[in-house]
Amino acid sequence: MVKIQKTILSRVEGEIELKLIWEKGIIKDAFIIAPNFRGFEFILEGKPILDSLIITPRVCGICGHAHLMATVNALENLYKNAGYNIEISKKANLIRLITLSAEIVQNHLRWFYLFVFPDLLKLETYTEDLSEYIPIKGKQWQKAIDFSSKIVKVIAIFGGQWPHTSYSIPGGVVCDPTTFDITESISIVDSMIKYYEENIIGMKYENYLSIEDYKEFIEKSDKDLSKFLKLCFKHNLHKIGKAYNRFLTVSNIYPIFSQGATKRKKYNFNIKKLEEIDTYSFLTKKGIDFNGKKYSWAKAVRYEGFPYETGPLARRINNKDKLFLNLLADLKDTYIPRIWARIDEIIKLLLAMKKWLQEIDIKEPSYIKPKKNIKELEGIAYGLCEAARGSLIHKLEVKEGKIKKYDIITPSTWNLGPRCEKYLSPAEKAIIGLDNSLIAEMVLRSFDVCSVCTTH
Amino acid sequence: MQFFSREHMKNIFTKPTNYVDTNKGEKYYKSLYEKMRKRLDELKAMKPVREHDIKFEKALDMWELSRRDFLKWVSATTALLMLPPTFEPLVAEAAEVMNRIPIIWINIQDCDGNSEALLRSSAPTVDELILDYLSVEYHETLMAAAGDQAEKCLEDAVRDFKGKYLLFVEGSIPVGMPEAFTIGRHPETGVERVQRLAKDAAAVIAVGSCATFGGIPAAYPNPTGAVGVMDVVKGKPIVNIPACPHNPANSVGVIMHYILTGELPELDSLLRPKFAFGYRIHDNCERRAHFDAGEYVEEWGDEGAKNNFCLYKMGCKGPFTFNNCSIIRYNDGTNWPIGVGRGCIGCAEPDFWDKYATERPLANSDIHPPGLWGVEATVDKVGLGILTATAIGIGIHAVASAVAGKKEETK
Repeated sequence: MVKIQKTILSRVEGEIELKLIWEKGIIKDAFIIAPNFRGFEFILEGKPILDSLIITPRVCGICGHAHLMATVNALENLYKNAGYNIEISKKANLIRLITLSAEIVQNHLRWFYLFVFPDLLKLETYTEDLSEYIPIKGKQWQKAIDFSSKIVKVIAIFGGQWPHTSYSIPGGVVCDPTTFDITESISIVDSMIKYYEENIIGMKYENYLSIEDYKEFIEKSDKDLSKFLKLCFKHNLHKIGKAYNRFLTVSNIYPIFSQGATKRKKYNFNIKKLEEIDTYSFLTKKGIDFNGKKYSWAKAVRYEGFPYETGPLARRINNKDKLFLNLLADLKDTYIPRIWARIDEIIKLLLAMKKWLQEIDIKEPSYIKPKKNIKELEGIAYGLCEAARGSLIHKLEVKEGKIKKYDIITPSTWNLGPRCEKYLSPAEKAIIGLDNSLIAEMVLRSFDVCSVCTTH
Repeated sequence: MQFFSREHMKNIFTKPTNYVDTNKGEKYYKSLYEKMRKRLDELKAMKPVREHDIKFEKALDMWELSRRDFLKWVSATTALLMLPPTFEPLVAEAAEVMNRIPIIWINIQDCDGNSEALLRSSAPTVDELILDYLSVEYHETLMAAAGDQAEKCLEDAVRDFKGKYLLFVEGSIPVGMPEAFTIGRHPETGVERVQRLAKDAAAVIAVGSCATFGGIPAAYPNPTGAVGVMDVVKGKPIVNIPACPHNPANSVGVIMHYILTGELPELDSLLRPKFAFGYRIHDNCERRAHFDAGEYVEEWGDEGAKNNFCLYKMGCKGPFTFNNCSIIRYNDGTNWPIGVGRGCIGCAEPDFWDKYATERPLANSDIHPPGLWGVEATVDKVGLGILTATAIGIGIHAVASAVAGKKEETK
């Protein structure tokens, strides 16, 4: 008998609904419904170009900074496409990287403790003492909040506030940090690294970075990540949540992220191979349509016609990270590698942040005035950025000093968007075939759900 | 009336309701003190909302906070509420009975930014005071429960605390297109959800620019017909705490005020608490001295920018924006936009996305800063703030001392 179950998924950022079609105790089909729409792309239309710098960060309260970066990249790309060279000082570039990394770190940290761990508490109700991880009351939960709040201070130091910063502009950044600001940021990063070593991996980061195999890690560590992995294996979570085994990353941040699309073999990413499909979306090219089979505000995104998974796991794979290539070989693209990749990224970003902070030369200019006024430019431009959850793309069309069209493709659109005629979205595919709705929610959450930006 | 016309500006800046009266006389503070004393005694006699109540001392311990940290927070909050320092013991007591007031926090057309801001509220980690001690009965992002279980939590809280809970709303409400937000097992639109939950609330508190004035979703052409809470909820006390994101210190302030008096704080014509929105950013800006001296950043990255000159000509809306972020700042008081040379975008003012935005300096409007076209008189009127001269390095305690100082004078 076919049974339909519809759940609102709380404890994600924003709201999302999961509609499951059950047959004989197995999930036969899954629909991920993003119910919230605000119409950013319509609001941006007709506005002065630079207004986008303060409007797009508000797409998302968690990844707002990444949206700012994507917008700035798009505006700088506009110069390039119009034939004008735009110069950015090394200092400005480093500051942008540091603040972007800080945002990603806070997201991963909070996501792991606030959203992922509570699910395991449910599976483990009476068997093991996990009181440290209980939301609000648990010591480790509290620490995670504390440290994730701490790292965003780095963004506040350079960007003024978090969430919703607007300090970056075409040509550089507006802030002029002092040595004191940099020292303060380094001390915050240092305390984060220490926290990470003592609480999450339970070993020195040098030792952790040399690990190439999950068995080796579980043997050597007994802290939160290891505890988490042990529980996953205990509950057979290493077999769930397999998606398409196709991975996409849109931009390079040496040495941590490298762009590319991997489908068995790695190819260079090419923006031209991208398309948005609105068959199952309320929002279509012709306007808003609630008819028939449509079920989500998000659109489906396809690369060369295929669905791709984006996010930390994709970045690890495209960066040819040994541990994750091994994990993929052993466990496939399932729940565990997806979550581990996010936790793994934290330390890599922190170490890079520290290096970048030390490299800042405060004597360099923060801003180099572009040769041409942006109001005189016309054309189409792209802004690419790696946000916490994956690849973020802004497409901009400018005419007569105004925004003619603005198109945003968020990471969650790749992972959690609706289906197209041929393929389900990676998260929908990962859920089908499961036999437990809690596990289905967990798989969905492993993609780091953010509905607020999915349906901007 | 045209935007930016002299007449329009004069209207904005001379509206008497926009300014907070920091000196209400000894008689007023005396009766307020008694009123608060009585209210706190009543609350103390009440049972905490949750059964598994923990003692406040223990909560401090759990978070490895010292009494000193706590007292620092108390004096900051007392100052925030514009109460004289003699009220500090009452504020401390109020914090200890915070778990008598149930809170429900819902999100409609939001970006979650205000919840994120709340998680970063100021030291000594009001996080734990809020989350651990305050009785947050329902919060989609933070609660342990999910799915149906979460829905049940909400229904239970509404039933158990009928007429008692404070309803926090984050995000705007799409009136023009109800389909833009529908949620639940029995699909409920944003309007229905807000109205249903507001019906049994003691008061509704709209946090962030979206919930107060519609925010970005309501910017032209407002595709979803988004409006703020006060446009759809009638017959309930409403407090607006705008800004994008709102400053968590202000929502804590409203809760504290409610606990202390059983009433909402004094509001201005836009329903904003006067303790937070009773003066302009400009009045306490760290770059104000440069404004007065006629020293401006003329271009990003110029000498003025390097020397922290005034950002007015780069489009800063500080002189037109009522908010306390020049004092409270963001992220535990770490910094604020003007601190990094960006300028204020006026995010606490209604419809600022369409009329203010960043790159539209008002330097070319009828209102001019001094030293440019000799219109000091006008600017002087603009700068009618309560603490006009206090410029650089002003801390939260400066407000407290100013309040106390003024009180002394009247004696």
